Amino acid sequence: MREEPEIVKILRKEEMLREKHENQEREKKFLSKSDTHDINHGECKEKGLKKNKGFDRKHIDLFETAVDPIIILDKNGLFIDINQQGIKLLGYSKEELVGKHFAEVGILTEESMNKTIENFAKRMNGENIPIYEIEVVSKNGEIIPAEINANAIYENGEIIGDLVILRDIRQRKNAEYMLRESEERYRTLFNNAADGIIILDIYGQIQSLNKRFEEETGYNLEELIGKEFVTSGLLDKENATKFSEYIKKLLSNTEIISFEIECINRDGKKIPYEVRAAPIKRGDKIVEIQAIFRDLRERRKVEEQLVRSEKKFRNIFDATSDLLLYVDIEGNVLDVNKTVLETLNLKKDEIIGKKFYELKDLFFPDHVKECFKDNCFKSMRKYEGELVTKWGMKRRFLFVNDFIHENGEIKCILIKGRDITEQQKAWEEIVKSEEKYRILAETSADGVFTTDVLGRLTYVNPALEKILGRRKSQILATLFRNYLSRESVYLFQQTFIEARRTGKKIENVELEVVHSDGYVIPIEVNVAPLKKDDRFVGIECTVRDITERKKVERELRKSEQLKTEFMNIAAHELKSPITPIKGYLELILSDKDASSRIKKWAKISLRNAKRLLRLVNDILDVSRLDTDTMRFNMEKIDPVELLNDVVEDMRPGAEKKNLQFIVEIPRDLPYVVGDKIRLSQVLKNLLINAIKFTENGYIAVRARSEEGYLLISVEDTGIGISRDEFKKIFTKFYQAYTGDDRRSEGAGLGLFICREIVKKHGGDILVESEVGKGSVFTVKLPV
Amino acid sequence: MKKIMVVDNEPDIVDLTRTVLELGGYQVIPSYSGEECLRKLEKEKVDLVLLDIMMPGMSGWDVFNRIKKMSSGTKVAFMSVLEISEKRKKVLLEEGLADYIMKPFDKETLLKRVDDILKD
Repeated sequence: MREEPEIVKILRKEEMLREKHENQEREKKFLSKSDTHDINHGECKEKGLKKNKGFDRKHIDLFETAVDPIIILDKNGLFIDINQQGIKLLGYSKEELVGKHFAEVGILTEESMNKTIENFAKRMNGENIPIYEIEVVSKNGEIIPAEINANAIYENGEIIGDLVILRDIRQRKNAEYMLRESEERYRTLFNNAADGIIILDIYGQIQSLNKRFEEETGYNLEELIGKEFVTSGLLDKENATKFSEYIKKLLSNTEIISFEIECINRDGKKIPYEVRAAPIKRGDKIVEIQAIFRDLRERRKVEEQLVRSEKKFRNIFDATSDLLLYVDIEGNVLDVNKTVLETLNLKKDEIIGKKFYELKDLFFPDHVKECFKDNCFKSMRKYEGELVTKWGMKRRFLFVNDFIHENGEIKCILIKGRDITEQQKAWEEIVKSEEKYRILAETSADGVFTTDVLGRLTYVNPALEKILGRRKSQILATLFRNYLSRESVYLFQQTFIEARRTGKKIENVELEVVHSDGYVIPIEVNVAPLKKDDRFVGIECTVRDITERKKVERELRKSEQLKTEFMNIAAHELKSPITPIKGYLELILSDKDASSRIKKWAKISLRNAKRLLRLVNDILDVSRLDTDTMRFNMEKIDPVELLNDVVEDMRPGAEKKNLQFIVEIPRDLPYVVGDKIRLSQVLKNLLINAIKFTENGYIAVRARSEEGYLLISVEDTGIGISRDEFKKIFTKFYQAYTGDDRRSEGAGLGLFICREIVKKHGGDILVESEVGKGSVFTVKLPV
Repeated sequence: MKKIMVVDNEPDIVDLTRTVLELGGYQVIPSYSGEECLRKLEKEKVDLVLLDIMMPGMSGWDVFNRIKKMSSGTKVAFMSVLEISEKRKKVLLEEGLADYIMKPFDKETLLKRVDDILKD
């Protein structure tokens, strides 16, 4: 036979215990009234407690079914048992507590610890401890205020343990707190009220009054407390009677009443008050009367302010340029502002009461009327309408409905109408221009594209499709730089970043795209940043295929090269024959065997060969200037050095003619950028001319800097130039008339060449002269 | 006696130059093209080559570059009607050119310049 399982044994035992317990019902009842008392008298035994985790059945039941949590400790303070309520309150299981000291399990707050230990010790010494409050801590950390009713457990007159009954007093604490708070709130309100308040007992004697009342009347609490209000001197006879009557009324129907009276303050001044008196009840009985005194002078002031503010509102209402109409929920006009009257040229009584959508000269779309007729105006917030002004002009208005609520219901509607005619026009212009722009872009011979902020294509026109050799569908949303030659990617990226950074348009950026067939197309792009609400959102780009231009440029360069080459050949061919002519003539002149007659002829030939050489050089220069093939090697030049060189070269020529040679060159002249050889050619030419046309007097070379220019002047005291010749001297082949003997030789190209060279440097040559007195030629060069 | 080779496609100029230089006490080897100049230089060592620039066939530039590569110590000076910039001239001198003499030249100038080149 199988043995009964342990649990069944326990249940059988429990059953036996219950039977025993029922027999002792009377005793249990007694115990439940004063459980602590019984236990106090040692009806449980320590041994029994330990053995059965309880004591007698009756105690177990009592223990477990008690409303309050119960803890049993041994005389050392170790847990012996805790009931279900205790477990529920503290959140610990029995196993977690039994055998442990009450002070070590963390169920007490720091503040409660000492008190609990102290009281436990006292009880274990046989002292009776009245009910006290502590705070316990549940397992989940909640602090719970508890009332402790604890008693020592005796056995044979000896203390063997402690029985602790806890009562959760959270709710009570809460209620206490709330009451205190409410009282405080009332007290605060009472003291800080903007109105004077007095509390009277039912006999009309002053019980209390607040600060405000003291301030207003000039009497203080000590003076008035206990006095009958009506005879306190605050009221004259008439008002005292009135007050008494109202209070009587209040006491009879216990309703709140309000009335106006006049009080006399300490200074004898009469103050009008509105009094609101209310009974203070305890149960059903009126115990006191609270009377609130509101100074009517204040209210009157406020009323005045209200009127003023309404006037102000009316002014705003009328002054705004928007149309403002108050209508009821059926659309009947309640009020309108001046703008409406003026715009529609109507009088107020012609409008008030009429349906706003039926007003003369005001036109709304049909759905607006329908909405008001069908009472579904709530869905109408914005709508447009048209208005014909008194001048017969059609204006477009945007109307916005504002619903004015009262007690949660729409009471009326404020309709605001704003003239959007101009806005509309502008919008239409935008639409038109967008359309124009679109057509332009679509039909443009240049490629046009836009990108997003990352450079992905968001629009491409047909011309760009053609340049790239790819369809729109293939390339939209891809990066534009994917279609650039490797060399161009960096430049494009830089341009993109620059456009983004500066927000400005960048023009004429030369790039190369790679056509889908693999060939490279040179393009020129203009990049403009695209903005939306001031934020960079991408770029817009026009793309020009510059293949043709590049071809032309190449050809031009080639032709320039050819021209230059031609000029070089011409120079070579023209000068080469002169070299041996001149050379041999010089040899004849230095030959000791040559006769003097031969030498004379050779001398004439040499002079003419030299003249021919000069002419050839001049003609070559003119041709180079005309064909724009004169090469300038621009460099930074120290003008002092240049002038000194020129002056030293020319000095012998002047001295030969016994002319005074004046040189005034400051040491600190600014540098100029130019071709040293060509500029020196210019200055020499001017000096040669000066020497050539001057027989007496001086030649002066002066230099100075002035307003961003370097001015070099060559002055002579020669024959001079007449005013009408000023312009002519700079033309090709012009020769000055220098008398019948025509001593001057030359083709008349010198000054033309000089001026052209200076012009190529960004400067000019100026001339001042007087016939018979001399001339000043000034070379003006930018610094 | 120092040897100078004069290179120009114009025989009259070669003759004139030769006359002037011989008067100055130099031995002159005439040459009428770039190609001829290089051919002759292979056989004969000279102290200076006076070289025209614009010649049919090999130009003076080409000849100058070839002579430089020979590293024979032969000096080269251009004799030309072409004007060149100071900057360009400076570069050429740095590259080993001895001088740049403009044509037409006068007797004295030519001799002085040549003397200066061959002084050391």
